[in-house]
Amino acid sequence: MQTAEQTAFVVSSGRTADRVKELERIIGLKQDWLFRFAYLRVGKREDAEDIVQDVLLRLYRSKERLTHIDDVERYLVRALRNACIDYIRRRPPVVMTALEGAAQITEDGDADKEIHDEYERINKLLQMIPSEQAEIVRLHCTDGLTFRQIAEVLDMPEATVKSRYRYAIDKIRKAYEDSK
Amino acid sequence: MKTANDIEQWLKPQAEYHASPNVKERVMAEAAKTTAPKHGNNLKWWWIGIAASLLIVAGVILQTLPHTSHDRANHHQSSTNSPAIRPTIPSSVEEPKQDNPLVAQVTESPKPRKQVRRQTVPHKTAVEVSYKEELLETEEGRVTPVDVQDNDELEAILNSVRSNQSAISAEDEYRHMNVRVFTANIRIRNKQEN
Repeated sequence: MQTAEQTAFVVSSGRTADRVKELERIIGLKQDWLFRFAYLRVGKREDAEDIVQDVLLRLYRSKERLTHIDDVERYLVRALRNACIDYIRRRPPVVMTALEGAAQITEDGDADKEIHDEYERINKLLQMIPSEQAEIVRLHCTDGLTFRQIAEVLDMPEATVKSRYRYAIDKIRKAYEDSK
Repeated sequence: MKTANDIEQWLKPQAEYHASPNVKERVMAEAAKTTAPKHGNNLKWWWIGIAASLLIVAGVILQTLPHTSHDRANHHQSSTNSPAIRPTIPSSVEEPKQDNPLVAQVTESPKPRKQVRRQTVPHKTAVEVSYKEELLETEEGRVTPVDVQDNDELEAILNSVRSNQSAISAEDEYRHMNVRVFTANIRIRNKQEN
């Protein structure tokens, strides 16, 4: 997740021009990853983009002194995850039929059909396990975070994260075997 | 039989996720807006400053208004020696023509009590002069002439006259004072002509 180039930039409480430049750089490097992170939780392009936009602006306006890329990434992951949780809580529970889902994809365009199918496939698998385990699996498998990073984001010991992950994968596997 | 690795592979996203370029544009535009309000805030403070200074100026003007009338009264007082001693007649009561000054003045409709008093206050000096003239003339022969330079004595006389006048109604007082002022003016003019 972290490269040598990425470690070069720093979000600090410097001059406004520098902050704008740094924000532009972060967007260039991270926006697709942030979008995927949000889309796989929200399942709707416009909403995912809105969430990403809000989080990036919050990062820009934040008075926190983020002097290292790790700080920035941690900030972004936490903020994005919280924003997605808020969105899901606020969203009325709408059961989308297959026809409505197809219409949604058509609205978004053909390019979004692939990512929407993937969103549905991953969510179906994750629905087989409890939500706290599903979150760890999502952060590790789909978002690419290490167990250490997940432990930092979720404020829990790394060992707990690892064990929950193992249980989650086992449950999914068993559920799949049973369904066959 | 599926292994844990297979499940992990299923859970890994394979598709390409690209956020639309609008996201970057919108974020940068919003960031620019966030930076811009500094100027806007300053402008707001400017407007508040201007409004406050205008209020102060208005307050000063309002405060000076009574002073100007007082100054005018002082001006009248200072010019009592000049022959043109005239009461400032209310705007509605126009200055009478030279032909029939008294009639025109007295027959004017009387003003409400408050207005009459307000109008008569600045002409205190003129009225006092007329009283002084009248007293000097009517009591000439019977009483020893009053020393006009003696301010205390003159004040005492005027006070006694005022106490007598207080019994008279405001309208009558107004009329009497106007009559006396004009008679005093005429007398002064006549004296100067002679």
